[in-house]
Amino acid sequence: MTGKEMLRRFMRQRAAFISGIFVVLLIVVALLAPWLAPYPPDLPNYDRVMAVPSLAHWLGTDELGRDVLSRLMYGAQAAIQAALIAIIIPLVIGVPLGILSGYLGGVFDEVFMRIVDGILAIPAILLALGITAALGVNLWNAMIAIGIVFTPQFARLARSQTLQIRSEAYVYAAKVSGAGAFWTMGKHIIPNISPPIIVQSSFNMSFAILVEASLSFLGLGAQSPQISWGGMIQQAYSLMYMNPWLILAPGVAIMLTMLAGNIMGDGLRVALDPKLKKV
Amino acid sequence: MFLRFLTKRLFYVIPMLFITTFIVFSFILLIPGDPALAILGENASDENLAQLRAQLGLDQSLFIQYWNWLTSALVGDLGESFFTGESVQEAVFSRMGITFQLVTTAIVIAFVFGTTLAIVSMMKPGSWIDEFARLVSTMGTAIPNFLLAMLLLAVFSLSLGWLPATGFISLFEDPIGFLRSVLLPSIALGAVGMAQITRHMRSALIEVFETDYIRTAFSKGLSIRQTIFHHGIRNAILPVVTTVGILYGNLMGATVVVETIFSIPGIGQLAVDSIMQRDFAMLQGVVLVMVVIIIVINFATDIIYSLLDPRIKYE
Amino acid sequence: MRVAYQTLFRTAILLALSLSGCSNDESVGATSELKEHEKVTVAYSTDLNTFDPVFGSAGSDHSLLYPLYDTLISFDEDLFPQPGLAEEWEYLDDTTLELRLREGVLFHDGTIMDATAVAFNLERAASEESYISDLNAVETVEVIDNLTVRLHLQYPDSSIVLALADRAGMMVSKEAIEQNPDTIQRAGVGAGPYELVAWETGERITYRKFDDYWAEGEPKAEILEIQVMPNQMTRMNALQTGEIDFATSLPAGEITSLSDEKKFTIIEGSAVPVNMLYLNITSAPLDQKAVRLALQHGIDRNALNEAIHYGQGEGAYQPFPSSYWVHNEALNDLYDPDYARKVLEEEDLVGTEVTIAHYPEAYDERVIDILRHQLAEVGIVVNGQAMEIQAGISAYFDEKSVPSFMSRWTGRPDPQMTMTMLYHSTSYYNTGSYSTEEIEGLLAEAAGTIDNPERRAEIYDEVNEIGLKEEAIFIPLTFQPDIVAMSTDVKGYEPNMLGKPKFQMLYKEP
Repeated sequence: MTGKEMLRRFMRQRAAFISGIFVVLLIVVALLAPWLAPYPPDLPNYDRVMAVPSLAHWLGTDELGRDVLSRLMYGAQAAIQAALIAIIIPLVIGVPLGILSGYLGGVFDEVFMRIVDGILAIPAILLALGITAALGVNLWNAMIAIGIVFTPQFARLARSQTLQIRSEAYVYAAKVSGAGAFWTMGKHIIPNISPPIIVQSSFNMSFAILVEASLSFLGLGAQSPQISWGGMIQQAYSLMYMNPWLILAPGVAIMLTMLAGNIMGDGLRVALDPKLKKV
Repeated sequence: MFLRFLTKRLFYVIPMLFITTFIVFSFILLIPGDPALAILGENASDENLAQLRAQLGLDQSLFIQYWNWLTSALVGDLGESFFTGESVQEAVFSRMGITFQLVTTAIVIAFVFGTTLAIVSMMKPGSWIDEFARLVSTMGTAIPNFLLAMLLLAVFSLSLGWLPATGFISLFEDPIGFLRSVLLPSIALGAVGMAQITRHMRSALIEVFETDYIRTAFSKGLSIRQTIFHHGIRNAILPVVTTVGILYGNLMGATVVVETIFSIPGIGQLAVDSIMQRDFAMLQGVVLVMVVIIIVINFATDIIYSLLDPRIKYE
Repeated sequence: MRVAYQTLFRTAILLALSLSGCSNDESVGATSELKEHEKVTVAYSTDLNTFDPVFGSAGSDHSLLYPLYDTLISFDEDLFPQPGLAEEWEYLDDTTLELRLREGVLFHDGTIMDATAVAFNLERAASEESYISDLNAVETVEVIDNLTVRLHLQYPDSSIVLALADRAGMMVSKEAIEQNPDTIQRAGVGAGPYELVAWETGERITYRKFDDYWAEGEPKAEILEIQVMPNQMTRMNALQTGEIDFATSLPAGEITSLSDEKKFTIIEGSAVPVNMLYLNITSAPLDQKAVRLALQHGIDRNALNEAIHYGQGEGAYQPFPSSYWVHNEALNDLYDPDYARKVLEEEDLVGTEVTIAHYPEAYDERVIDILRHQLAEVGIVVNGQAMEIQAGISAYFDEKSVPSFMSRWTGRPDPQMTMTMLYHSTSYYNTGSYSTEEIEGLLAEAAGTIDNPERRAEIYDEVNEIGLKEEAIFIPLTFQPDIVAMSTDVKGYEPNMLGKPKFQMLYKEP
């Protein structure tokens, strides 16, 4: 299946296509936030505290009179970064280790998989909490923690995919004909195990945004002046009686982004796997 | 055969426990902040510090500390909280009881509503209830549990006053009170699970509908209801069992946030508190018990799976 | 192999017990047959650390200890000493304090609270192992007769009387300590109006009325239950839905939105706890006086207070709130942004970065945000560094790895204690151990000024004048309003300036 065909298969699914566009838009907004945002995101204005939405402030202002829309746009940066870091770390560390483990098998595989299963038995949020506490409280460390938490999942996925591929005829043939291990992994295994890993990445991106928001809500994520949607919810929650709708803007942003990530993941799965029909 | 399968799985689980606890143990020691200093505070002279460190065993090497902890843990002694002097196993087990009741309720809710929704939606494909089921199964995975928790709290406790906003009552003390106290938090926790179960159940049912023999049976007059109950559920039960197993692990983590919002004194809050306070003895106990429970549940899932699925060979 | 089986068995039983939610909890039966009005439920922010008064240092413990432990001296709402377990006290000379004890006071275990018990407690509080430093001046405690003890001091100390209203004055049963001092940590035995039923860590503390309490008709409620609810929103929620009767430390602003005023009484008090920046003066860049002065004179506390407390509370330009007897209005002219900028410019320090550790809470982040903007105006770049409570305390006070720490001074019953702890070079809270001879001389003079409060207040003015305006040893920020709310049937609440409510006075009308 060619790349073009995959793209066609992806675009044919309306929901997935719209989600894809949403994610692209989100990235654009995040990148262009300094130009798009109508106000500086952290500029207080004590004369306009907790103002309701108006033409001047489309989504109103927060407890220090800061423009909610501008903060939301800058918050998108944190969300995108969190999603990327949380995927890059497991792709760089987890996947190669998983492939190696699956390819080599034997004692290494046994030991490695037990460690992986062991770590997987610790609830993700709890592990992320612990790692953040160890690294120090701020947004970057929270993102790194999430990346570390995802690593064993990806290692496990890469290993099981490698095991399937390893036994197939052409890999066996390559091995017999004296191809080096790294050559075999690079040439045959990585391209073949990529689709499920891409799909998994899409799902994990939206999970990363959730975990970041949870950590920030507990106070262990974004710290001022870093702006994240989770941090905005933490602030808004402490003002729930005076101003309940402050929770809404970041809440909806998180929901839409997670929704887009999940639907896109489904779309990718269908697009990348010729055997799957649309559910 | 089955017995051999069982022992084999057990032999996999036990070393895993040792590995996990060791990872956790060494990791916890990496968290900066000296508990001895924290306990003594104003009173911390070098002499006092050295004495307290020795008393807490913090002056020994990692391996010796781990060995000491492990040997006591094996005879059921997890030590005492650094700060309150409370026995760790008592605290951990009483808190775990609370969280386990909460999480189980969440899963029961997710299972009952998830399967019902999937079945009902398949009985009338294309109807509003089918659309609703699809909506739930997509939205449910995208709504963060703490957001849902706040929403439910604001509507059903603060505005309508139907249900309590805080606290927990044990099922064994007062079943009605229990239901009232866990309803909102367990819905907030279980929403994701409900979405996942609906989803898996639906696709499993669709798969059955599309097999050739069911098509043939349809043409011979088999009703949708019969299809679902005679063939569909058997096919759908396996992915649902797996999902439930995974859910236990996920919800044990998610409960950290939900317990905070509803002020439920469960293991999640204990975990956060002991991380914030650097109460390492407590934290080790918390993680150990959580991991054991999750491993046991995974193990049980495997066994149920193998019993239900005749294709699995016990090797 | 046998050991392994036993272990498995034991684990299985524990697991089974825990999963079925069984617990050996005695409080259940005790509270179930009560009439609704005989039990008062309070939501409090922090769990207790220990029931042993001499082994704790957290200011949040007091409110949980008071119901169990009567103190030798008590205090009124303005923090003037009142009789407690000691009915009278008298300075025989500058270094001898005589206490005459109340007759017929019993501890919860039935033993008698007499001079021997008091001497035993005071010696324990003053000993090496105790965490209390308030009795450092005490040399010996002498038992004169059954109801009279004398404290012999090494040097005069004007704060001794009110120190006996703090942890040091909490009387624990001598017999209980002698039997096993470790049990006191989790199950205190005092002579207070309530005895302990159960302490479920992180959850609640339940107290039952002590029938042999010395004061006739006190306490009025049968059961006092304190629920630990660290989150202020949870405390608001629980009050709103009627799950608790009384909630402490509620958020300013938010409280005005607590619906249905007829159902709730809201009381806003003023108290001594002060939010401030602790400065480590030996640590860069705070070793530069110009930077400290810029911080001190560059913060508009009134604007800060307005933004975070919505018109409640008070800006802090000194460690004492306006309703306290040692407060001096003349000190409230610290804010002078032009002067702040000038001192920085003179030393060529404009643009200096100051790292401030703070707690990872919404409130603290808001304050840091405001400070960042205010101080940017005078030329200081604020770097907030969030740290969990224990990490922050260790990093600032013990490891000394951050130069500044935004936290709260929880206050002490006597201003002399506050002044000494904040300004004296030997104090733990003065992390840089920096002071001047002049300040320490004045502090010593105030310690010796036993019978003349006006003179003492004057001395404190001088210390504040030098220590804040000229040296900037610490940076006071705001006095958070002390807000409690209760359902309207709860009676008996009296706020005190210490900001540590005594829950034993609460009761409900039938």
